[in-house]
Amino acid sequence: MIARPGQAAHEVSIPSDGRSLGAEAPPSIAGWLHALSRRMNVPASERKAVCDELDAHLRQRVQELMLCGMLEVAATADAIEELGDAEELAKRYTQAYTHPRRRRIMQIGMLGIAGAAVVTAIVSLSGPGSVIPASAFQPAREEPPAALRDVKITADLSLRWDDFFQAIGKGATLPVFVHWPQLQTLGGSDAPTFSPDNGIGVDLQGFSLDAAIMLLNDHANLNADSGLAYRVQDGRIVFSSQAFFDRQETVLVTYDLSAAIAARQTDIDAGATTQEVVDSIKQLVTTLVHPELWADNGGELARMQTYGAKLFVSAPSRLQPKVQWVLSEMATAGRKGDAAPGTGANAGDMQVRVFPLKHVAASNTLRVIKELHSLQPLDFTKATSDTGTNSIIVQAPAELLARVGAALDAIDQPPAQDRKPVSVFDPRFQIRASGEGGLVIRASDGTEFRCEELNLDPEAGMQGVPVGEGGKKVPMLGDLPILSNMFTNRARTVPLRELPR
Amino acid sequence: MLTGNESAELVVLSLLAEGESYGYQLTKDAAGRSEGHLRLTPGVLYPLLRQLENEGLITSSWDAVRAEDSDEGAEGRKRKWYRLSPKGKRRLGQRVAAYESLRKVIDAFVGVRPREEGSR
Repeated sequence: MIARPGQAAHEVSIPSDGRSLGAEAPPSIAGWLHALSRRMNVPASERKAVCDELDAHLRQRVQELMLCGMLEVAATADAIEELGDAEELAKRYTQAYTHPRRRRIMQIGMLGIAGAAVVTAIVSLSGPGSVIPASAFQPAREEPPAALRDVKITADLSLRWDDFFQAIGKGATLPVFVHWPQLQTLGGSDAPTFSPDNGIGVDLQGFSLDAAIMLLNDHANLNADSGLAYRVQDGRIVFSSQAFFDRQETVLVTYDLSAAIAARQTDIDAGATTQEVVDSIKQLVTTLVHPELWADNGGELARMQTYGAKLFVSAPSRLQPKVQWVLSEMATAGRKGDAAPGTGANAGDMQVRVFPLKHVAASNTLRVIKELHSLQPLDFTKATSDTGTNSIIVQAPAELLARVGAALDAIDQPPAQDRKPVSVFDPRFQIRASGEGGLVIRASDGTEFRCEELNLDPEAGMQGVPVGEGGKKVPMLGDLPILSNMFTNRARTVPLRELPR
Repeated sequence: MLTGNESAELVVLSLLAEGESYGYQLTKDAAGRSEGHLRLTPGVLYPLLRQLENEGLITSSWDAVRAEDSDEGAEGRKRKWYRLSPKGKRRLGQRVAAYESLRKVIDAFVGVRPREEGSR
């Protein structure tokens, strides 16, 4: 954010032409970097490294512009303007740091090839279809016992990691094994987050283990693919990295590509070789399904090879259903009813549409829309999210696709400016209207705070805008029924009078 | 199939395959090599470098600006240099292969039309 009057003194104000500064304060590199630094949700050491590097860039650019005859003030303004909006840049840095292997920061489409648009064109298939894995080898996975599922965790942020893990074992009456070497490498930092004597860093109040792990990973700037995970193995709770379990749970599955190849017969008739068709099928899978994990993309956990019309996929078991879904959709290409998304097909025909999202994370958004009353007729086994392109892919009749589109339009909004968000994440929180105006949210620990309105933000769960400075941050889990009511009203920001009492 | 992000990655990895470099120089090289058609803006480049480093595709180190390659006034300041890692070299090879296959597909369309028109 570089150009809003009335901001704090350390933020700079730059006129739109970057030159005619008049009586306004001249732009300052230090001020802009400070504004950027404040907005980046990354560790302090990382913030400093980013600012040092951008400082070097800006100073060299200013020098160059001055050599071209520009005055220093104008050159500084130009150089800062080239870096763009500090808030947007901070967001990109945060994403690059938080999701190191995702490509979301590149949605900018620098070279003009919109990734999502390319995917849309290729996934424009329609009609039902299926590709059943021809064979599979999969090790059994132990389900968590009820005692562990029912554990509720309340912990202070200073609680040591070692004590945290042991307390969970005690609560579930199960022995605990922690893979410290695996955990200490998470995040690639010199100062590991997951170390026996470090504090967990988050206050937890009555959380399930799954919810607690989600919050703890988020606090450590890790995602579900790269962070802390647990399994129950041989009657023990084992804590390790998700990558460790992924390697353990890698399964080899073969898929029959005959139908998918046959669906491309027109391409083959037009001169494409079968190998080219197979290559394009493989490329679509590695683009859509966890792209960062495939060896073809520089990953280490997923590989595929073809032999004739058989596709052998060695990948973590959680990837295989997605591979199967993409292949089954390709198998229906070229059948009756083929059409570009939203065009030409009858309302009752199944269509596939890709909804690229700009402001919110696809995986979280998919979880939210699954709870919407207005979308309950939708078969959500035919919906998936793609983190690579940050898109939601849905197969449904045209009328339902339109409803999905409307819901996603409502969700996919830029974050509100000048608002101090308060995350509200508890399934057990209560909402009621306040006699003083606004609404009161009561958290599980009895804390109450008053908001003027609630905003939907699937990435953060739900956000309230506190009245005055009294809002207290309350980490909890999203309450989806409330979101549903909000969606039924087709409003992203819900006036208080419309909220259920 | 190459998406915009993969293309940016391809450009940066290709430039670093020719030798170590730093952010500002990369923006210059990208513009110079493409005769100004490709503008690798700093707002895109620097987060991308951060991401590539996180993925282990490039490595970096800080070094003082050397007198022989500095502009006036830059000498003594620090600069972050990037290098391609072995993993980055593998990724670059994959990206180049993907680009080549995309180009073949596009060439098939771009090349066919004039010949058909010419034969009529």
